[in-house]
Amino acid sequence: MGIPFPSLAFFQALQQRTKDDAAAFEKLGYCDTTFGVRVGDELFRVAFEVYECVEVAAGGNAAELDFVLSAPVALWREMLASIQAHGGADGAHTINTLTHVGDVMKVEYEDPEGHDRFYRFMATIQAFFDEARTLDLELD
Amino acid sequence: MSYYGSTEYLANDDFVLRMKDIRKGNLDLGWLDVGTEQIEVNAANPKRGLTYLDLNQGSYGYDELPEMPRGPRGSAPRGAAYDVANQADLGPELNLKSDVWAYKVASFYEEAVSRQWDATTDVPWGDLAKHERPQEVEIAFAQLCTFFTEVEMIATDLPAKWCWRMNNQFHEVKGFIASQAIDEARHAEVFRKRALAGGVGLMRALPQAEHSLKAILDSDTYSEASAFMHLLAEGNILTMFRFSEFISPTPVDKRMFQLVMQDEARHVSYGMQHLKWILDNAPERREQLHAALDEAENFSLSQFDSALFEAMIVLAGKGTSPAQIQKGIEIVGTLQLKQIEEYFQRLRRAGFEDRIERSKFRPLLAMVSLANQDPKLPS
Repeated sequence: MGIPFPSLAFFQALQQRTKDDAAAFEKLGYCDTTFGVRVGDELFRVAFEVYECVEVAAGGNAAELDFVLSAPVALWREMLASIQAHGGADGAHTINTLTHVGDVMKVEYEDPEGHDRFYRFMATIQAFFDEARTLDLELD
Repeated sequence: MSYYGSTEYLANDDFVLRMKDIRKGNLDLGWLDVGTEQIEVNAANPKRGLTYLDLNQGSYGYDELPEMPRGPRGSAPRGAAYDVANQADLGPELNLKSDVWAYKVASFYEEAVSRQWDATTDVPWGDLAKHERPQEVEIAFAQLCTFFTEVEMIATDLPAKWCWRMNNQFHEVKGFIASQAIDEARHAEVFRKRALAGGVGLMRALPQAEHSLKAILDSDTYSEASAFMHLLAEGNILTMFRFSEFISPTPVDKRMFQLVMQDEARHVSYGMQHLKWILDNAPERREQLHAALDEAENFSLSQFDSALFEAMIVLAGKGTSPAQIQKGIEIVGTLQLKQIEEYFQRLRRAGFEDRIERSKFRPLLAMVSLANQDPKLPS
């Protein structure tokens, strides 16, 4: 039985991947940010410190996060399906592409400094989601 | 050679005698008791390692560094013992903390060192040939890379120009802008490699860009240069990198832009925090910064009419048919709004909100009929 999405178990599995695939994340360098992932109405909090994801949690106060990536469930599922099909996000489904034009995926933030952390750690955040390629997911 | 020693040592009897004395074992050892501070230093996070933040203590730290640190004007490291009378005066021009400092600058330095990458091996160049690109799109992409190469060469020169002018008491800032210089050199490298690897080669160097870059290099003060380059120009380039990742014709290009974007965002963050530091600690410089940004914005406007602008439209529309051009214009219009919106947000965050009222970008938006498309912009 696969890991359901959205679920805290999914983010816990990604968190574990940052430890199991530590060399890849260490190569990318320090990543210090606490951001949110909003899947439909559900908010998940993801905290990175130094090289790895140190905490994931359901819920939380979006105003206390550096930024929140927000999209409908269907779009997140589409992105994850792309990651699983291609071994990583294809051109149409990178986090930057989804958030750049047309508000397909929104980047919510209150502090521009927090927003800039999204850019400063983009490669690590992309690598984090790309780790979904290794998971057995239930996307239907 | 333009700086000559005050002594011909081989002809100095006292020096020669002392040298012979040391050889006989008659050491002075006075330097053993220099009296500098000893502190306990530990990595706050062993995974991260020992950082400049861990050294921020006592006479070695930066929190206690005053606005006008009296003392060495040579290369004595902060916290070392020094002899002002006998020290070489290196003539640093930037001797006030507010001339160069930024909130979190030590963190930015550590992040920069940790997140270095290699343009030769971290971009999967070998995959480029696997992806077909329409010729007109590849040519437009080569024009974009030519522009970025020009920009990044000057962005390498700018921190190098100011680094040696900074008092060595501010070594965290010097380290950060040295890291910026290597970041920008790597960016110039990666864009040059991409333009050539795609088969088109470099396209036209743009006079509009070069005048703007000259204005950055010729800024009268470091803070004016920083406001222009770090905050305004690199902020614009950061949005263009995001746009370029968005329209990238291949995954190879997407990877390249994800990597350059990170460096650029760090430079922008430093610029915002330097501006905030100035406004908090030397508010009398506000008008000087306004005047610098008046002209910086004027130069930035020139980018809206160039081969670069057209290349971006072709890339965004993925071709040159009328429908593709119309689509490209719409997407690039969104990019331009985003550039200005994010610039205004950073000004607000730095405490320079009054700049927005004075900005030349507001009348520009009205002129090209973009102003009403985004309610987030001030009216």
